[in-house]
Amino acid sequence: MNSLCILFLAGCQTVEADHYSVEFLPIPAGETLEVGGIDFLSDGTMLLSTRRGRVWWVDNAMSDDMSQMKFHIFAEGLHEGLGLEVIDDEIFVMQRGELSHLIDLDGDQICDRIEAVSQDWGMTGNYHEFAFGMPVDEQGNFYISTNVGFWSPDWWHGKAKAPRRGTILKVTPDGETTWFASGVRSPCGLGIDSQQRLLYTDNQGDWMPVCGLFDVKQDDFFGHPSSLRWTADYEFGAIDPSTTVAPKRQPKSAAIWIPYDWSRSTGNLVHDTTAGKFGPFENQLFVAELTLGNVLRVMLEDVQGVTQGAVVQFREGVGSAIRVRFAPDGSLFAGLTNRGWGGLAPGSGVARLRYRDVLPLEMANISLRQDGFVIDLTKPITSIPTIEARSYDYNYWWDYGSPEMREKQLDVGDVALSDDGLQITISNMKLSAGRCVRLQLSGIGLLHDEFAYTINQLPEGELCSERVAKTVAPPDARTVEEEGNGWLTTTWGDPFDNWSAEGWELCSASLDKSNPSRFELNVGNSALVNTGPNATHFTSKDSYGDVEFRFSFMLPEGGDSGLYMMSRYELQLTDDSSCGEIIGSKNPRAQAYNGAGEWHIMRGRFLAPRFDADGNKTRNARFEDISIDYVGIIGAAECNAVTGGAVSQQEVASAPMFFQATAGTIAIADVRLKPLD
Amino acid sequence: MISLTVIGLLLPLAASQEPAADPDGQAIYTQSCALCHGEKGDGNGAAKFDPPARSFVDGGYSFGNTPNAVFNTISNGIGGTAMPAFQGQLTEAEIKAVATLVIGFAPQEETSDPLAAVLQVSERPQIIRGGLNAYHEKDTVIPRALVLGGLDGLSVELDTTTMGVLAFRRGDFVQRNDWGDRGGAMLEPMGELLMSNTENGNSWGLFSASGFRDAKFKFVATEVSEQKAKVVYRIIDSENSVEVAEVVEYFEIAKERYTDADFVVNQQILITWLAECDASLFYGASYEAPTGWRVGRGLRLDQAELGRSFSFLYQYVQVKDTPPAESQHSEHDDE
Repeated sequence: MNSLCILFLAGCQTVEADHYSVEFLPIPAGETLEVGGIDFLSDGTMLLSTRRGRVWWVDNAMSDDMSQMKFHIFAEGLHEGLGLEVIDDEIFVMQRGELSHLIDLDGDQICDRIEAVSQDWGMTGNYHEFAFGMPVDEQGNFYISTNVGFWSPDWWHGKAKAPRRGTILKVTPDGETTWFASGVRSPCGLGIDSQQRLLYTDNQGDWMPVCGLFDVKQDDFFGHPSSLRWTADYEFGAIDPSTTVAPKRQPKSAAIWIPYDWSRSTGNLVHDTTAGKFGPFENQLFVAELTLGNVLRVMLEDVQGVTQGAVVQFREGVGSAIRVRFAPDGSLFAGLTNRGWGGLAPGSGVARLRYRDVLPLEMANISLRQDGFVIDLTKPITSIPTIEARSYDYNYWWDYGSPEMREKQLDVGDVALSDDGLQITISNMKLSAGRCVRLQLSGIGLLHDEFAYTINQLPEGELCSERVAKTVAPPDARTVEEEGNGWLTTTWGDPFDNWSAEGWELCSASLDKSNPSRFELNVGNSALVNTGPNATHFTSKDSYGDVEFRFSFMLPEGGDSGLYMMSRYELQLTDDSSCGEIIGSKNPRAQAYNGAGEWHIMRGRFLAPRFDADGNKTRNARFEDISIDYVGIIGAAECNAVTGGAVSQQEVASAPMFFQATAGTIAIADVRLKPLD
Repeated sequence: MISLTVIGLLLPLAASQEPAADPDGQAIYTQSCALCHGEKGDGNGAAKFDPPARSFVDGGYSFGNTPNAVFNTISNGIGGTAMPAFQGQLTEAEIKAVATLVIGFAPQEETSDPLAAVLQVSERPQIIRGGLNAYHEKDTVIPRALVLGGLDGLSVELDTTTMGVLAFRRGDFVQRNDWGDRGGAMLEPMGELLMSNTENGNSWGLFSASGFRDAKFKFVATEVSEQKAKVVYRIIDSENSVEVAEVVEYFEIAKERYTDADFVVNQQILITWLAECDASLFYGASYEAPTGWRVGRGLRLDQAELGRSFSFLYQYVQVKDTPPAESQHSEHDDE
């Protein structure tokens, strides 16, 4: 990018590098610095704690000439170092098992004494019991956070097998350690902002739909149930919280839910204290992002007493950033580490971000109105942007993360530009609390033209009790028993080649609004649909006798299909009240089918007919415990004979099953089977 | 004197026992993975997901990019996502082959020289923090431990939760595996084990600081100087939650015979401890305690003195000037 263009040509689209440089520090040869903490002494010395248990002392870290930087080891042999804080030139490091004060007794820039400030939280020795830290409030209290452990085989359900795991703890200067907040999952980042708010970031997983940024107050609970094990409700360790059913306690909403395409693993955050040296974002938050290698920018506001706000992208290409910290000269340093967490290269070392004194056109501040947004710009514009808006929310559930749910396109009402060209006001939008909105403002040359705003509350009206992350009924629990005892995940594009069929398309499907008797198909693989020419039955290659089954299905208006167990006994799948009927045997006792265009989960058990040694049938085939969306519709249904459409009238002990392709249209997904033999 | 040579002798040998016929990771990948993750591992498979299938080319992984982590993910799937469990569908060797292939898609990271993970004691003593494996299979790991390494090749392992001494060794110091996997791994002390409570494993057995009726022990600090590696802890009167003593334990070669007078104690209890050992070492404690509290513990292995391999284990505590036996504790608890 030609800088003349930036300076003189209005509306010229610039790129991030025109405004902010990213340089990587020259790490000593042969060393790998997996940085977990960064801070500076008053003389500008940079200190880096690493996951390899070292603290590096870096002279001249702010030097323009990077060859002037000098690294030496200040401390060695620590147990990780996922946080480092300098307080009045005293050095504190967050080890996995200890918050420590590192002391150089003789002034030789080598640590001689390490004092334990606190070890007051539980550990089992599990590899995933990371401990993170540790901003300090005005009273000198530290805040630290403890990760949950992961145990196989269902290791995505983090657990707190030792006390105080999955919590944020407050540690006084003399080491008194108290439970501050709970319900955290993988709380990699902590920070205190310009208003002395304690904030933390969590990482997407079970009970965390996406990475979130939370405003932390005493006794808050953020949603991951594991830490509740150590509360009175769970008899202080005697009762394990369910890994699949939401706890009774309502979680506090995130101030910001960060879109999945912007953050997968969020690190810490700092606010801009550089008084303009780092550009026009004073007091705003900069957030480290590891997987995608970004730094993000966050603007918070208080709306009816609730902290919430907007997030935008700030700078890509930073590497696996887990820690950010402003240096005294106004540079932003990013500590990088990748090992085991899988971030963008480089996966170790330190990046230095500097403002090039070239003002970018950015959304400087984003503020919510009852019916829209007020957006301040860093530079004046002359034309009104084209705006696209959508809203969505998430599921709060046991599953690993949540897609954006219940998405809606939003009409952008009126857009006005202030006389000075510095403020865009969007009004007459229909906004609701308990939703996220994402807006894109194109056509005006914004460096980053999208933001995501988490609306916990609107500025006026009664407080909304609905949270962005909606508690939903637990999906079919993939428990240890199920996973371990032979449940077969047989679809999702059929990677195991378990099925044979022609004319079934892997896609994403929704009801065609112009013709609801059809599906609108898009690129995706959340559905298998029999819309191809001459589609044949979706038939298992293996034979099954007694089997538990579950699958998802969706029908268009008038849709008609069926699951033929053993290619003989039909479970009706039709867009009407008979959905779930066992043909020739029983009708559903309850109406659980919710209509065309809705995905449903069908579960049940099928038992094959039994025969004696002479081949005479001794018991009929039967279906048991059939449910749609967890509502039982049939207790038990005997099949005296095979159904019409069966491949054969002869009853046998086992045979392939199929989803019928020839009667009408159906979408199926996520077919799982558990043979009961 | 024991020197710190033969570094690397105890390093684990590189895995060299490959199966005779290696499974074809590429073929398995093409068949079972590429639909979602793309032929090139870039996440651009024919199948599209929300969230999208992982791109291995970017180096991003949901549950870790180490061979073990990727093996785990392939084996068990990721709950709630489209990533199925391949355990049972593929053999262990096949999953390993795919894991290796998948890791190969990622940008190559610098690899660490394994020797760099071996810590040596050179100019001054060292103290390393980390977790330790149990000394006995029945016991749990020690998540918070210290290993003190002296210039003479002797090392001591302590549990900072109980302040119990776990073991004494001589020889090489410590292999760190902190960067060996996602969350690191336990420390591996490398020296020859001179003494540990292998009957009962954990620290409450040997030199235990637990079990004193009126006292609790709280780890305070470590300190290293040119000659000494020190461990500092406090004795807390558990009845009144009052700190009654700050103990500084240190580690050095016995240059002369220590006498009971070296411990300022009212009472000492001596027990014998058989050990195959020709080292001479002293592990001692000094303290400043208010009136009524006395503490000390020490070990001497002193072959020359007695003409045979022999050792003494001392442990003294006197609580609040009360001399009776229940407040004295010396033998390791076997409970």
